[in-house]
Amino acid sequence: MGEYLLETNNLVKAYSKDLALNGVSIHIEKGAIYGLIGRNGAGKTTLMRIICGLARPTEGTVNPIGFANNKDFYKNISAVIESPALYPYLNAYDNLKLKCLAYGIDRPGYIEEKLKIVGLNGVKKKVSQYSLGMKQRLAIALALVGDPEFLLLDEPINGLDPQAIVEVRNLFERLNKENGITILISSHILEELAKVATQFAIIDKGQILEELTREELLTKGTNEVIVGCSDVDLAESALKSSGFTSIRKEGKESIVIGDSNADVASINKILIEKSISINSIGTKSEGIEDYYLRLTSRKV
Amino acid sequence: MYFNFLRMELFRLLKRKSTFIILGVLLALTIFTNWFYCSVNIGMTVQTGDAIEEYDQAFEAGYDAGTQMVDPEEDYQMFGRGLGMYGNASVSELYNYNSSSGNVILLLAIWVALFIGDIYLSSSQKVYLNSNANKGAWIGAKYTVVALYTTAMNLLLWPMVLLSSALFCGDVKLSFDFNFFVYFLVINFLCIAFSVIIAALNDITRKRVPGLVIGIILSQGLVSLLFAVLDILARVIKLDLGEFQIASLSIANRLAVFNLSTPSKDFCWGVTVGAIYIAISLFFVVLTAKKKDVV
Repeated sequence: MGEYLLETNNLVKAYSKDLALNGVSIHIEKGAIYGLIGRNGAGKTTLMRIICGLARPTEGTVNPIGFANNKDFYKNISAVIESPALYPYLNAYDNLKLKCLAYGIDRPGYIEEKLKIVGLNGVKKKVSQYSLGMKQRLAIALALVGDPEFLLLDEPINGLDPQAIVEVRNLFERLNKENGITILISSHILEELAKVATQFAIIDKGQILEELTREELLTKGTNEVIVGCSDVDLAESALKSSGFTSIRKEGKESIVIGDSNADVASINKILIEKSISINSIGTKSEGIEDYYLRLTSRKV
Repeated sequence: MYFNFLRMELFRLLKRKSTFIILGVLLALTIFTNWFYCSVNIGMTVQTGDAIEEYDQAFEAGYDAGTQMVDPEEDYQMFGRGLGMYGNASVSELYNYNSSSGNVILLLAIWVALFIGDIYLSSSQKVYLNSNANKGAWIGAKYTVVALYTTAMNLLLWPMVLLSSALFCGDVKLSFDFNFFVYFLVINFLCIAFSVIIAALNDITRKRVPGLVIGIILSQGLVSLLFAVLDILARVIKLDLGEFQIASLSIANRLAVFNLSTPSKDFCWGVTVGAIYIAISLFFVVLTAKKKDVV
């Protein structure tokens, strides 16, 4: 386990009678791309707003472990929360210039450098004429002003076309690897998040259901072996006696083995040795989406 | 941090088209107003015999009552065909007429609502206010820019009046007396108070439209009208207010009635009213910023 940059302790956020967050604790490692997964209204944006100081928690704390103090933390974070917050009557350069003025940055070529990262350098037209993808990229460039160590991106791929999604994904990976920026990304497009994130938290109805690394997710979400056989009860007892524990029957003719060490060859061998006739055998990979759905439906 | 935000807001001010369009509209309104004051001859509308007779009688009566007319025949002719009603006014007096016309505060209401409301329309608070810690500095910077633009507008009104005076009002009569200086300071302060109210409405509601709508209503003197009705009601129910008029609590009313010869006591009251409005507005802005999360 790496060094933590930030953790939250039992965050609660109440809006009149509704609880947007209910005891949320997450732990973000330094240098990670932390994916916050949840459906719309799960509490992702509220959590991000609290972390970056735009909203106050009703209870609980945000503990910026990787920073000297709160002032240092807020100086080194940047966020794109919900829709890109840009002045439509200004061009990309002037939007960044505003933030540079607010942050006291007066370095020649600084703005061009940030625009180049997102591929908007030299674009003269006003933001009101931008596509949503361009706005998202400009919002990210705006977030990069001040050279933050920690970037919070709320649904950054919403509304982007497939080409733009790939571009933005590559951008995140570049920022993370080349610039060493820790990134917290929220999204409900799970498969896309799974491609970039190194840590995950699954949030539903204001609660964290599970927090896990990419390796843990891969272990949990894959390697199910499905066997079609004549006698599922006999097959189950044979596999249990061989050390498999995660076994479930599906109907009268199928059995599913979910252990991480389950593979087709070894299971096939065990069943043949016990003279159980096999009709079919194969693997089923469970993606992050299946895992998420299984996890959230279990809670329901 | 305050000065960084101030530079940012000044940059935004200069990048907004409305900053200059509003000044252009003020110039157009000033030219129109002074053309109307100086060139449109109200006496020309009097054409029929009966009406002329009535005006004759009115002038005679005025002459008999010892008014300023030196020669009734000459004065009558001027009224009939000469310069308009403020044809002989000095630039300072014309400035006073323009200030009290309500054009300035109407345009200020629109500009402030656009300038401050823009922040909420674009949600740009989210970009600059990590940690809530910088709210105070940004509020200070925003209101400084609002006060600066208000002052710039009142200052620029003077050359606009001078220009239109040269165009329509015959001889340009300049007069830089102390009364005008005091008058300018007082009305500028009242305009700043008015702008602060509109900006505060935007900041409290965190929307553009309420500030815009209420600003236009306030600039058109509807609140003065309401206060005047309250004045009447107070008298009807025999509430003893002495010489105090509830209408004097309205900024639009103060701007409309103040002139170069207003007694200093009334100026002081106007400044007090403005200061109270500024204090109340800023109190609620700070309270909202403290209590509510950034949107």
